[in-house]
Amino acid sequence: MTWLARLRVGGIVGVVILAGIGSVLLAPRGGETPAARGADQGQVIEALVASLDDGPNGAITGPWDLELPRDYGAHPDAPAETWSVVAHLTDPQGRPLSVNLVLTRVGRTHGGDAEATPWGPGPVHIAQATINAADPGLRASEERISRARGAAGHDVAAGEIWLDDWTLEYGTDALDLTLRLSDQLLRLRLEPRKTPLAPTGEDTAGPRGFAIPRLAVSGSLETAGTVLELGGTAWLDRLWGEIPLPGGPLVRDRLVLHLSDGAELSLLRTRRRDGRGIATVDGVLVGPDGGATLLEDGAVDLTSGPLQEDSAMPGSWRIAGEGLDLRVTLLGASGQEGFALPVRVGQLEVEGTRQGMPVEGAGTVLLSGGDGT
Amino acid sequence: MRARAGLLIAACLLAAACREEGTDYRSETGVVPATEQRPGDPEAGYAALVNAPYVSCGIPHDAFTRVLPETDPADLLPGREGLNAELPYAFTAHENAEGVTIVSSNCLTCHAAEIEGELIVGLGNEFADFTQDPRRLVLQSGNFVRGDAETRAWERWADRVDGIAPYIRTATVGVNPATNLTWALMAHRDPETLEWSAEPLMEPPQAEPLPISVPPWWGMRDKEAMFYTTVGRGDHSTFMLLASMLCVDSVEEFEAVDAYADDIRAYIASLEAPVYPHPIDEDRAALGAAIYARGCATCHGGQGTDYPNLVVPLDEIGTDAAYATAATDGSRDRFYEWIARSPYGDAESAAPAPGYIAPPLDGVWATAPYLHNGSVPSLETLLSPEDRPRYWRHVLPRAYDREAVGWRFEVLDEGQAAEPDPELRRRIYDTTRHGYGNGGHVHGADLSAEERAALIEYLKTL
Ligand code: HEC
Ligand code: HEC
Repeated sequence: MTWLARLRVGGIVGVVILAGIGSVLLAPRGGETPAARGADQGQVIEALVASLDDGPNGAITGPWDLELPRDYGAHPDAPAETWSVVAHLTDPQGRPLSVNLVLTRVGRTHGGDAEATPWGPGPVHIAQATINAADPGLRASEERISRARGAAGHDVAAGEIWLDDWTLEYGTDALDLTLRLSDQLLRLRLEPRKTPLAPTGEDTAGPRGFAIPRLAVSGSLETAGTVLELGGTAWLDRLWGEIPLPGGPLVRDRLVLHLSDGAELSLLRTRRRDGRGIATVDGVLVGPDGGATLLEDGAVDLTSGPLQEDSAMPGSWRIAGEGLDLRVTLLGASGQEGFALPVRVGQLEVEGTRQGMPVEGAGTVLLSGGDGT
Repeated sequence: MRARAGLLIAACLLAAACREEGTDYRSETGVVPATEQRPGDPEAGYAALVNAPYVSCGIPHDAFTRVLPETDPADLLPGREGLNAELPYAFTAHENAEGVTIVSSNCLTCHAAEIEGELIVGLGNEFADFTQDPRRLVLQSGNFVRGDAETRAWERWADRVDGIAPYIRTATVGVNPATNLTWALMAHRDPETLEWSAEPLMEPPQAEPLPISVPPWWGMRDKEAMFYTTVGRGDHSTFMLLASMLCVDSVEEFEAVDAYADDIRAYIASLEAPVYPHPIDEDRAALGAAIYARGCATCHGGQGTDYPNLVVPLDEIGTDAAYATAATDGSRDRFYEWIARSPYGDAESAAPAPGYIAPPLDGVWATAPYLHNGSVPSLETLLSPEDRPRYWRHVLPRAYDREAVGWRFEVLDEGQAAEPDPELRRRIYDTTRHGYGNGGHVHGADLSAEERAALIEYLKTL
């Protein structure tokens, strides 16, 4: 069983990879989803898996060093990639509002695509966006799937990734995110405030990527003529390569927390979808100076409170270990069971201590498949 | 086997003092009597060993290639068919009933190893890491499993690993928990139907496995019983299949594997020790031969003496007693009884003696670290007991030491308890731990440095 040891994803890479996958790709197949878009879901997943059937040669190899802004942009050689943003914002009254976007491309653009039919084999783009806030009028969540050519893609020269009118533009100093959700227009500017967490110079076949644990966010949310100014912090994950696909045996809960002392915490709890076996909790803790500590399973205890019926997720969590003692409370959640790839996103409030000093903070929980208990 | 059972019953009638099961699951120390083995075809045995799906569950191949995308050419073995020809030697692929290609660990995970640039089938793997919780690693492999059929296959494997995981974590990298692993599997299986039960059906073994060094297969050329305590008596071929029972869930599956077990046994018993790959000082070795004949051959055989198959009682050999004591103090009898009731053996199969068998020393140059628990890193330290390190760790990357004959090691001042970093701690061989002791076997202690060097030179020739 020693070979299993080789599965250990080492260092920061591991956590960035696992955590960075975000929620979409890890959502389970079938099962818990209501019938609303059930048919779609099966088709979408099959399309995803089919577009990835490149066999084992899909891995990208060769030396790689993170280079920005290049690596914000698409890596079309990779069989799949994701962009994921979690933003913890407040309005001028100090009311919390959180935003979550996961954009995924699965499948490569095959040669000669100019003549290919729009529904021929080619990449599938899926994006899910959620806004959580106390005011129900501000809440929104939407999923967009695009297999049609031209409706989604990337433009290296312009530094832009898009799906319909959802766009992520990137440059040397900042990223600009624009999302239209029903009658809302969200525009956010994200400026990195910490060094990216990334492996360097490694020639491995595993997935590649990086995370920026803290970006300063400013922007606005326009609804029916009113404009709400927003500011706060965000966490960005980028991942490309051979990444996990939907329809597997695992469910995951991910928590991303921005603490008031300048630290961030990303935790990923993994367990079997059938409920048997153990759960593992891996993560990364980033200090105010940007120094990252990899949290291997067992380093931090994550316990969840009882399930809340209305949100269908736990109402609280407790995090202890590595100098942390945090109580995490659910403020609200948006169910996205109707999505082709179901995920539930919760808005969190944090209080407690880090290194014995009081801290508070904001966070997001993403449940892919499980109920988080 | 059946004939011997008959004899035993006859003996019982005469003695009129047998327990109901007709056995007490014990052997005497001393010479192991010869046992007839099922004949088999060694060539067919090798083919089965490296191609057949005797371990029938594992990780779906699609996921496997994402975890281990490339095979080091040094890990390829000849005689492998189909997909196996591309897999590292320790893995075997097969298609399950649902059409999913599964990759499983095979016997060579523990029974093949590289030494001095050569991959040797039959050499025990003394560098395997059983200190981690395998469930965690299994979960990570689940990241790349997709679709319902793959998920079911993965779950079956994950269930078995869940069942054994609490019993197979060693304190030190390199030592092996195979025995405890086997007991743990038995605890989850009905002995008659072999059906798996998520809940243990009898008391599982103690959680912490006693550490074992994997013996070289070529010793089975001469050995009449398997394993250090000679617990493996009777028919070896079926008994050794206990090592493949992770996913054998029915008597039919057992029979499918047992159909070629005789060939695998014949292959194992046909193996010869690898030849020492470096120059040997013949004159010195000749001096050493005389010393060996005087002080070692009576137990280990060789030099004109046949291999005696001698189990030396614990108080005489003095090496760490934990393993043989646990085997014979009654605490394992429920597992021996399981074997007796199962198709893997009969009432006489599992019968350990309260001692350790003096192993054949062919190829001993390659089998470090020494003793049943791998507690002594080199022949030099084995033969000068006062120099055996109390706390030590391998020099990494591993380096073979031609002088001392064994693996290069560092002596440490403190044991595991004093090391806070778990990564460093699990590298430490701490001979003060239960079962990890390095005492006893003081043969060679009274030799001069010169004589010892001569003896070591001779041991290289075996
Ligand atoms: C997890 C590691 C592991 C695996 C896998 C494994 N073995 Fe072993 N094997 C051991 C250990 C450890 C011993 C020594 C146990 C003892 O002596 O008490 C051993 C001993 C043996 C012996 C007896 C050698 C001797 O000199 O007494 C034979 C024969 C054997 N194994 C065959 C097999 C076969 C056949 C398989 C595959 C079906 C297999 N083993 C799989 C670890 C393993
Ligand atoms: C009284 C019988 C006896 C004598 C004499 C004896 N040995 Fe041993 N030897 C044993 C036993 C029993 C073991 C197994 C002990 C254990 O594993 O705990 C053993 C183990 C060994 C091993 C370890 C093998 C391995 O692969 O782990 C070596 C090497 C060895 N003996 C060499 C020698 C040499 C050299 C001599 C002569 C100086 C010698 N022995 C004399 C009984 C004996």
